Amino acid sequence: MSHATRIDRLRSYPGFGPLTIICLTFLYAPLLVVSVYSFNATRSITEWGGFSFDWYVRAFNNPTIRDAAGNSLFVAVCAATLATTLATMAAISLLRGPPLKGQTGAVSLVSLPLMVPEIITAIASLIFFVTIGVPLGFVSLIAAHTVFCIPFAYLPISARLSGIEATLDEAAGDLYASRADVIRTILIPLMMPGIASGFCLAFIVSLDDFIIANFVSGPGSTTLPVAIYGLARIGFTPEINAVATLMLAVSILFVGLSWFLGRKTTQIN
Amino acid sequence: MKDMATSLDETQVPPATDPLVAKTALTVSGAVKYYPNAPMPALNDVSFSIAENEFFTLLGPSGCGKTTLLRSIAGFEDLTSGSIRLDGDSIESLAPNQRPINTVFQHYALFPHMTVAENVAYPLRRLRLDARAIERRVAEMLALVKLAEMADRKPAKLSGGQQQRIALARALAPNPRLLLLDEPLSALDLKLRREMRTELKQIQIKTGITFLFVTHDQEEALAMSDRVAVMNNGQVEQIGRPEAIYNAPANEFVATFIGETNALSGLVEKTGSGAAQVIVLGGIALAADADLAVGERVGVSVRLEKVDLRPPGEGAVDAIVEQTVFLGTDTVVHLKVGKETLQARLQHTDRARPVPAPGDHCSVHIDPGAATVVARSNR
Amino acid sequence: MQDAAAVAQRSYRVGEARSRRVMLSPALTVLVVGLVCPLIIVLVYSFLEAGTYGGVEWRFSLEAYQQFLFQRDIFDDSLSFSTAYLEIFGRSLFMAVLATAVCLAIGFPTAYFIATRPPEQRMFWVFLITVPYWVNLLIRTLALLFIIRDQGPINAALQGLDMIDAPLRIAYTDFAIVLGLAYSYLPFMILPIYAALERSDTRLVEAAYDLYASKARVLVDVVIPGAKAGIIAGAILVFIPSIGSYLAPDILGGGRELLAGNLIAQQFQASRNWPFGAACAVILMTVVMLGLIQFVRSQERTRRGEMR
Repeated sequence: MSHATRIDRLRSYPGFGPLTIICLTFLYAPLLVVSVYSFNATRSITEWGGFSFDWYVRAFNNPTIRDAAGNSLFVAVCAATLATTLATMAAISLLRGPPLKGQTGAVSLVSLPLMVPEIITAIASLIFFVTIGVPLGFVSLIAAHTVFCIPFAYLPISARLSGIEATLDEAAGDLYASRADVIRTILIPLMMPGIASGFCLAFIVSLDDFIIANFVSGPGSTTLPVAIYGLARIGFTPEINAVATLMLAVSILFVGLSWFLGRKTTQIN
Repeated sequence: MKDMATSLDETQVPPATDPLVAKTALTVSGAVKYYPNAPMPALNDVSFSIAENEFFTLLGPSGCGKTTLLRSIAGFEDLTSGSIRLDGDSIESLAPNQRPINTVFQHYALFPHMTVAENVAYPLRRLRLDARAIERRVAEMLALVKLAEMADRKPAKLSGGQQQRIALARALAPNPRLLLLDEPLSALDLKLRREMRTELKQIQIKTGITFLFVTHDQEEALAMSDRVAVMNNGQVEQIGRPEAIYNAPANEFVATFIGETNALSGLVEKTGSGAAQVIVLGGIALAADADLAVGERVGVSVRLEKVDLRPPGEGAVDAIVEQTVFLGTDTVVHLKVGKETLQARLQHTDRARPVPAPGDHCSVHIDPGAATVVARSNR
Repeated sequence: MQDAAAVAQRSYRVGEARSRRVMLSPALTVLVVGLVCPLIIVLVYSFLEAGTYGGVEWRFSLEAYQQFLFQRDIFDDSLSFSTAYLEIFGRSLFMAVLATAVCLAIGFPTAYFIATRPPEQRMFWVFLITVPYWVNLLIRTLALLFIIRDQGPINAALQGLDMIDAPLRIAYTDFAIVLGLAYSYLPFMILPIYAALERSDTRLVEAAYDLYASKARVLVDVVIPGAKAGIIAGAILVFIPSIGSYLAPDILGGGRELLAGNLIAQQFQASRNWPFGAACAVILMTVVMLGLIQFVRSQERTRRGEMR
């Protein structure tokens, strides 16, 4: 046998493989169980009453859920668009050319939302909006989500940008392109997969957020997670399973998309 | 001594593009560049000028400052002091995109998201030429580099050599006043590199554009250039035509960096009437320039192919063959002359004389005019 | 004269730096206004008096911090030292540490297993680990509650098999909270450890075997030290969100025993004591900062170690 397989055998430890399976089971089992039960025709946990879309139909017909889903999508699209735009501009400014004055400070500021526990971000935003007199609603929610989403959009965008050789900028500059031309004709087109990937992540983060939305959304701007939380307080219904499964599917779809775009990124280079 | 070599070059063989006669394209004077946190300057008082239509090469080992110099001319770096003039006008206050200078980058830097034609059209679009003119110029350029059929491909689908030509076509398209080439052949394999060498030279002649070529490969420099500037430690060691650089190196660095040479120690025996005589290897008399003093010790460079082996007793000094190294078209013979060592390169075309074997006795002859004094003691 | 030339020569680079700063400013402005300012306001509020109906009175007061350590007697208004809130923070700390330990115990072998897969398979395993992180935390926490509650499938199965008579009490316990925290943040532990292991030099492992090390010794002497930076990063990334967690204790703990995150949230909901909530947030933020500083220091130490 070849040397490679021998060293692989030496490097493996008994039990690490099974532990990995346990780890993945731990991560996925609850999600799988919820999805399976969302198709169960009966309310029972112990009985399988046959396959059914009933709970999905009911969830769609529930005006609370429907409105909340619409709000969530609206907020996520707005916040993700804003966060992606800001993150793209920040990435180009920070990563192209010699370090700016205060570069380190700017970079840590961009990742600050990741460092602060979400509950603190939530109550800080609440206090802030109340203090400056912005009523709680779509404006406060979109603003808070934009701030929170910036680092998530920034990560794949900056990763992609660092993968683009700086000589391309120099070559374009050498070929009579102004800085605006370089950004428009070279950087943005080449960064596109990273920008799309950043948008996907920002979109999911906004869609998934419960804690911040719970504090800064107003009566008319309740998002889906806030609505689900309210319903789950009353009682665990299969309807919740159905909505949860749908959200699961959306998340996996977007993460898959973001991952796929990121992979394409590495293949280009 | 630098001056000596240059004047020698210019008096003996006046070049077609003599910078004193032809119009000057680029002048670099007193260029100094310090990088932050580096104790030594990357450029230390570099001055030279390039004539119009000249193929000028900066040759030197990596880290000698040649790339820094090129990047300063292109506008990617600022000089600490000194000036860069193009056609007599200072260009230092111009951004790279305002300088009528284009660069062929070492790794081509083709835009991966654009087709070959779009790449070549890029500078023309930035210069706001009209669409028909751009189309015509792109076709012309692709024909020049013989890649017209690749117009609609993406750069990733091309071979290294083809990418190289596209980079060249793109840089030539706007008809720059000066073309900078940053080790453009270093990423190609040997065979392709030789082909591209000829082609580059032809394109330069055809387009009449001034080329400033940077390389660490002496063969490349000697093969293509009208003039070569040899750089080391941020300084220009010698500027001259390839033959002059090879045959009359100005100092020990140039002598050893270009071609293979025997660095010998010599003693000045007599001087007078515009020449001096230097004795090396305890018995070979060589001619040297006049301003040497009798009794002075000097360093002498003798090219391997200038060393002539003769049967014992026929040459000036006797030698013993220590080792022979077969190199295909020729053989290098390592000799012991007294306590000193010497190498000779024998061409195989000379069938009359067999290649000696280790242990053989022979004698050495060197033409008096074959040597160059490259170093002298300060006494 | 030379200076004048030098200034002129750099003018276009100055312009470029200016345009970069202009392009950077919207993001920084949004972050400063939307996060830094609110955090400063939280700090300010923690030193104000509580308003009667929520909100604050703009008068300087240390009341909020006093309340954290002392209890005010209802009758004679005297202060007596009370550990009630300290206990809540202590329990948060304890559970966060426990959750971090559980994540490390499961996460390290998993990360090692992935890092020793063939290179082309690794990205797929990493993808599998990442996906749950992107699924809504609320949904995941509810899903965990769904399977561990008294009427959930685990208890139903165990009862169906006659292994237990009464349902196992898993939900609404401290154990459930730790489980939930580990479940929430496990990917944060695996990814940095995996990154560190993947970067580490496999030749060191070969050298150790060559020098008569046993499997266990190789793990202890070579593999774990090589992944130390990743382990520390993973621990911090699990610890920080765990100590401020809100959903896991709220949903899985049944909200009966408060943790720091819930205590803070409560002050802005039912209790309506904003200064006290702000003070708790400041204290929590201080704990997190200490953790982050520790993290940065250890990162620097490893970097220096690598340079040597």
